[in-house]
Amino acid sequence: MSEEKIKQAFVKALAIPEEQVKDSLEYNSIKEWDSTAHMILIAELEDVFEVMLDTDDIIDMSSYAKAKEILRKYDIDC
Amino acid sequence: MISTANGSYYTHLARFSGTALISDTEQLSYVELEQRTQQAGQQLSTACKTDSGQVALLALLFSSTIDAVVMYLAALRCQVPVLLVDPELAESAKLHMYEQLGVGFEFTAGSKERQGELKQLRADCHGPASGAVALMLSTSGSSGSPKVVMLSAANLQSNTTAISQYLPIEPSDVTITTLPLHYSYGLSVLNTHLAMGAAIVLTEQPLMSREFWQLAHNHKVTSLAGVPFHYQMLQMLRIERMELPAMRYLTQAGGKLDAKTVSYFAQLAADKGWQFFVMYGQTEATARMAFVLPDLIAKYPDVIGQAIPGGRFEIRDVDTKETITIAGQEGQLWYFGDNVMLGYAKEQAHWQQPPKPNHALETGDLACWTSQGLVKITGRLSRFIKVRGKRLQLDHLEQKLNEQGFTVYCCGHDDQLFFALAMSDSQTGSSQAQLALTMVKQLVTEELQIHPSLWAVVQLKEIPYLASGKVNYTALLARCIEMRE
Repeated sequence: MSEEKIKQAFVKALAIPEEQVKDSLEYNSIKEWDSTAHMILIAELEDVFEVMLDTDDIIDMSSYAKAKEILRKYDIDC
Repeated sequence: MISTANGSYYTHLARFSGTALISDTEQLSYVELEQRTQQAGQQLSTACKTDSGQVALLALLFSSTIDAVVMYLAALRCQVPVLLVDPELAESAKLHMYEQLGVGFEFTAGSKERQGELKQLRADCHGPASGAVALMLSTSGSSGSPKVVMLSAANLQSNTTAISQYLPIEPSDVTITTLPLHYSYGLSVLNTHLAMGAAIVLTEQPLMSREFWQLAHNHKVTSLAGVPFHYQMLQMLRIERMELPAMRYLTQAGGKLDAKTVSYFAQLAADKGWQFFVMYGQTEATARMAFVLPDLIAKYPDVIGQAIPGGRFEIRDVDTKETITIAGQEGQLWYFGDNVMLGYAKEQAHWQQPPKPNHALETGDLACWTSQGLVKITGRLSRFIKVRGKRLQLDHLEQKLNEQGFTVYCCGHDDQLFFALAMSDSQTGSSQAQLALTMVKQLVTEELQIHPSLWAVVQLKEIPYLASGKVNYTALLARCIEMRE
């Protein structure tokens, strides 16, 4: 399940409980999702899905919903 | 005394013809910036100075906005002592600092919703002061121990001039705020660009955002400044593939960037025709103490280079205090120059009557000379580490935990903090061990807000000691690193 993997990447990178990972979760909207966490998140997603994200995709990944949308472009079914 | 006739970065700004500041909503030429600074100066003088020559201390919440920069320049020009404050600093910590230092006024920059506000915080806040302290910067620290560095106008001027001499800043340059302006490195970028008549894009957008790169692109930004963390981000963003035709040079300071990453950026700079400056400094030296000539960085990616123009280093034996001249021999790094602070301010009397400048700074860093006569940092003498730019005093952390009844030892190096618990096998997993873990976790995540990837709790059967009976932190750190791997 790719969506589950994405969710777990968020849990790990942001160090937040799973219940908080929702489509509406946005970058810089909670203190846990700051620049440090964002960088760890990108590294985690690249690692889990074995992809190299484009610069544009990294800076566009501004919410959980957006993350899924972007990863679909890399043929990840979620 | 420095001459303010011309050449200072905060006076006679109208001598430059170009753009000075660019924000989301407006652009200010140097001529306009001069006018705005004069107006702000009148308002500030009326509030903070009395006819009998007494002054009040101004706290400036230094957001990356035109309003805040104007007030900063006005304070320097009118000789109103100013404390630069992180606008995001927790209210309780801020008030504690204000109380300690006797802050009289606070300036908050305007926003879309409201105008800038100069607020008097208490009555009878004016007092006699020698006028030697122009500016105070708070070093970010672990709770309860922020240090406030006192700088003179001569400190600021000297460091600004030195940096402008070795960095290739030109009047046609445009830089962008990657660092907060209340942080000495961020402030030095602002000061040097104002001194050269160059432009600064003021933004609070993070490096990892579309908005930031849109601004960099639109305004044809020619340089970027970053701490090690920013360089990790630039690497992740694959800066090598970005279209940055106006870029001319990059600067790095604020902690040691690992040699591998330095080499990566040295190569990138060579490929792109940029220059890459690795630098070294401390707030206690206004900002900058050393830099590496870009031509040398590829060959020597692990050095801090040479002293800035007008400055000088000495390496002294830690025990005998004798000066070391032999390459490879470790000692404490000392710096000498006009940019060395006046001291730390812990109370009002300190900034009102600061000690005379002594131009010598014990850096607390261990270093050695290389055979080329360059300086290489080899470790740290004091128990300070930096985690994502936050300065942590390890003894304070230990003390804090021990006050709550746990024996925990803290060690680490930059961006890696360890909590060592002494515990026998039988105790592992006990309720006592669990409780200790919970406590450490609470302190680190709630109070210090450090990401879980940057710290770890390590359980050790025994803690290594020195013959003197003190904890052997070097051995402890090595063991923690080993355990973690």
